[in-house]
Amino acid sequence: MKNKWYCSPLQSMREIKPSPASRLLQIAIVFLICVPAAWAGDAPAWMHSLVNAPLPAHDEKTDAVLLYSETNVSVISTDKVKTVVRQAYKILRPGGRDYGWPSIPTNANRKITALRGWCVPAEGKDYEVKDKEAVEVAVPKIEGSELISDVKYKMLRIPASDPGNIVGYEFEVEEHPLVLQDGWAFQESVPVRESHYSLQLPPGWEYKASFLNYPETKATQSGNGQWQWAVSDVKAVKKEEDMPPMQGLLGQMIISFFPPSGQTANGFSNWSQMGNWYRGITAGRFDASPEIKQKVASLTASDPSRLSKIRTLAQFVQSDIRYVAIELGIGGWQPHSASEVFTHRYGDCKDKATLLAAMLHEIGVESYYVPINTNRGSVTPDTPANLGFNHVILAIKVPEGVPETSLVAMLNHPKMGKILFFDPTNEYTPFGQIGGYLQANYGLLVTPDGGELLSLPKQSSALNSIQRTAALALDPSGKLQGEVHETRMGDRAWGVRATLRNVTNDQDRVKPIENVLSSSLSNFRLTKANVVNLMQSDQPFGFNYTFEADGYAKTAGNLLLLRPRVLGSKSRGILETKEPRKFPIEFEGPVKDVDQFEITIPAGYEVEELPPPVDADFGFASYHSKTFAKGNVVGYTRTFEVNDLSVPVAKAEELKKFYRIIANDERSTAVLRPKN
Amino acid sequence: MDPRKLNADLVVVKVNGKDIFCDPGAAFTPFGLLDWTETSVPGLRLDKEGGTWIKTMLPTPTDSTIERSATLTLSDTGDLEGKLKITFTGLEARRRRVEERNEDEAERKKYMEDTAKEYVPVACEVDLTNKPDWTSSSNPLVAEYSLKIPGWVSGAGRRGLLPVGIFAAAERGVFDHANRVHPIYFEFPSVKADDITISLPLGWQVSSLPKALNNDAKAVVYTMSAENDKNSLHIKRKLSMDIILIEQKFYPALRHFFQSVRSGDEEQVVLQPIAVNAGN
Repeated sequence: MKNKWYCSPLQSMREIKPSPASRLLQIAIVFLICVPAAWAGDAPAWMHSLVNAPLPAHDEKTDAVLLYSETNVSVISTDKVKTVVRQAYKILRPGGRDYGWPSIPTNANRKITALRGWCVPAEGKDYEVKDKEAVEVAVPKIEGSELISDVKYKMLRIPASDPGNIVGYEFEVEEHPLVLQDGWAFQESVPVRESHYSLQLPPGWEYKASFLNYPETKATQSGNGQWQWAVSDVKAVKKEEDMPPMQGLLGQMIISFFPPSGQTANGFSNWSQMGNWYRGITAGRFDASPEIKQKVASLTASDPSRLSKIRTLAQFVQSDIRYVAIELGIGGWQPHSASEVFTHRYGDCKDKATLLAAMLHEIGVESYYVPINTNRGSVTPDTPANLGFNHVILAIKVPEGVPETSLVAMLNHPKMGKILFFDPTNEYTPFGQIGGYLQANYGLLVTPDGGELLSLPKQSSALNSIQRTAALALDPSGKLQGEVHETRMGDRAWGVRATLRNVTNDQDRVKPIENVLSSSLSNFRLTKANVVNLMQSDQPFGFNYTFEADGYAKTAGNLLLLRPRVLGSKSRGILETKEPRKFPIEFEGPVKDVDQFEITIPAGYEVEELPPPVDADFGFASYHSKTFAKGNVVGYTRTFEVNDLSVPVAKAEELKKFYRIIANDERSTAVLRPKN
Repeated sequence: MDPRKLNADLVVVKVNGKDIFCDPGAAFTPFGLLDWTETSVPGLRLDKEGGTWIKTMLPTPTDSTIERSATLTLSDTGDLEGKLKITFTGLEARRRRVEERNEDEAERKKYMEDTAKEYVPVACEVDLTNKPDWTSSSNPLVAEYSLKIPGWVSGAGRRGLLPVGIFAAAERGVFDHANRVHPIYFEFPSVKADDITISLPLGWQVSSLPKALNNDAKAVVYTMSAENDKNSLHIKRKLSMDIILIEQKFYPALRHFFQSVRSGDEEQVVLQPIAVNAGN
């Protein structure tokens, strides 16, 4: 989803670690600065003291280790916080060179007042780079849309960032904080030798610290209003395919600060208070302008029911308001006013939610913001209240008497009654449903009573499916031809609709079909194809096509070898690795795919052998297939269903076995022989 | 003439009357070859008279090869397991040496294992067992592995079916789409040659072998054969590409060729228990 990462570009106060995304920025810098600066200069004593420091436990694949990290936070007042950070990495492998490219986020409210970096090489003199060698780079635009943001990155290139060398940097930040909260993310994708965090509060201030994904470490008080925390030998969290989001795995401390007077407009210590904070910064944003009122009236004039009016307004915001994110300063969290969004006909996720809330209010339907993180597992009931969200959707209070049959993404709230979750940013998910990325995910329901972290509904797997039926005929040469009808619903329709949205010619429109065919057939000719309900996202999407595949069935002597599973692949090899799995395997959403193929065999042939049926039910997912002969037809049916959204590590071997069973079935062959 | 387009310097050495092109700046390039970006392109040979336009050399397919030689054993459960040796020569070796020149041994091991995995169409277990020579410009780059492919042979009742395209994954998904707008560019001519010996499990025999294939389209040639010798199976596959640039109008023919390659790779050897007479 295009807005997954950028709806809330606000970062924690820590620096951004090198990543593939930041690597792109680094490439840009290479072009900006023709001659890389390399200055001789002594590294500070705190870095030299690390030269002989023992390394934390690591394996041969470890790119670098974080030898030392120190974050010193001084809260000056409710609107001023100073932070000084020091970090030093020892680079162990070529892949660790990226640690010589620190990038620090900055915006109008967050000034970097000092930045320096050093390298202590294994041999030779130290290097130093200063502020003036740093480059500021803006956030890249969102793929397929626009992003205008004042978040920039100040980046340094530390010379000689090579294996065996130690790179380090120090920066100071002065911030006008959006909220009186900080995060100490002390665990990384590389091992950490030691990490320190200190907090200096003005007299009378208090703090509340919560540890996440790591045992709590008690603070030591080292003076009036000063506390310190330290961790050492922290294991790395290495990436695995389809693992839970890093945000939900890494050890971190969330710390909130409170002035002597108690609550402030920008402070909170629980979800309820965070809800109030969010309600505060969005107050007045969804007042409807006369133009909005007029539009609502004209859009809903012919709608016979309350539900159809709601649906009409939802679809208007879904499809007629273009996704464009303009996020300056607090704009990462605070939406533009509904009237602005309506006038410009564009906005980001929270802008779209705001406009829809304003329009719904005009027909007497109330709705509420739901900030959420689209990576399920980033925020859980164990997570302390924090700004860990990257998206905003809407919870619509379902009026009494509205028929609920189509309202799948609905829950019965003990106080609010029936509320329906709806993502106005997602143009392709039908009203009444939500995408897999939101299902069983935790969002913050913001109501006049405050905020409440709650789990969104998980939908039936049948609502996210590909149903494929084929009537095919085989000739004696092994050529297969026939007709396929494919119906897609839920996220499985969304992806194709998004791909085809801007396609204007037929040659490109058939490419998704060609992709399906080529993944299963060594050769094919697509002879006819059409698309059903491309833009009608409230209807199932469909492909109808005919194809021919020469030599599909292989000859073996006088036999014909026929693979009944003609199209589609459900097996995956993600667990076929040497290393044992460490983290759960995540599915994007529930799935139920059904294939039904009928293949008329050539006259003069009969079935000699058929593959056995497969019935694999592992609880988290199931797979059932059956090949049968009926007269001169070989039939094949199968159902692939994902029920759970996460498979625990303890069941990783079961999942591996599950995929192997499917792979075996997908390759199974029927044997046809000439009739006597 | 636009001098900015002449962006590299080569040396032409006349040996026994024959021009040998050398690029001293192109690391790991075997003697007599050039980096592919410098092959078959116009260049200005400087001489006393000023300069003469010449065309740089174009390597032959056999200058750059990938040879995969495997000795495998088929288990009762349909798994293939054994030794695999991959030999990269010419520009195939150079490409990999350049790509990994700044990496360490652990990364190079992973790279070579991933390379082998990418050749096999299904999930497999690969372990690099030797230390390839990453520094040479002239020696082939040789990687030796232990290899296991779980469930390669699928069941068909009492029979077992063994697809011959064990290292054919790279040719899957090539030229899927029927329409093409631009010409097709291959970096350099090359040959992929597979030589696979498979020992069959006790009590099993070959019931049927696919016909040998020889699809000779001149510039591109595909051959595949499978032979049975007592208790073992011998599969040979060769794909030779003697092209670098093909006009868009020839795309259908090229696509058809690759479809026939994939079709050939899907051919199956039929196995059956010795005690059973299948009657074919």
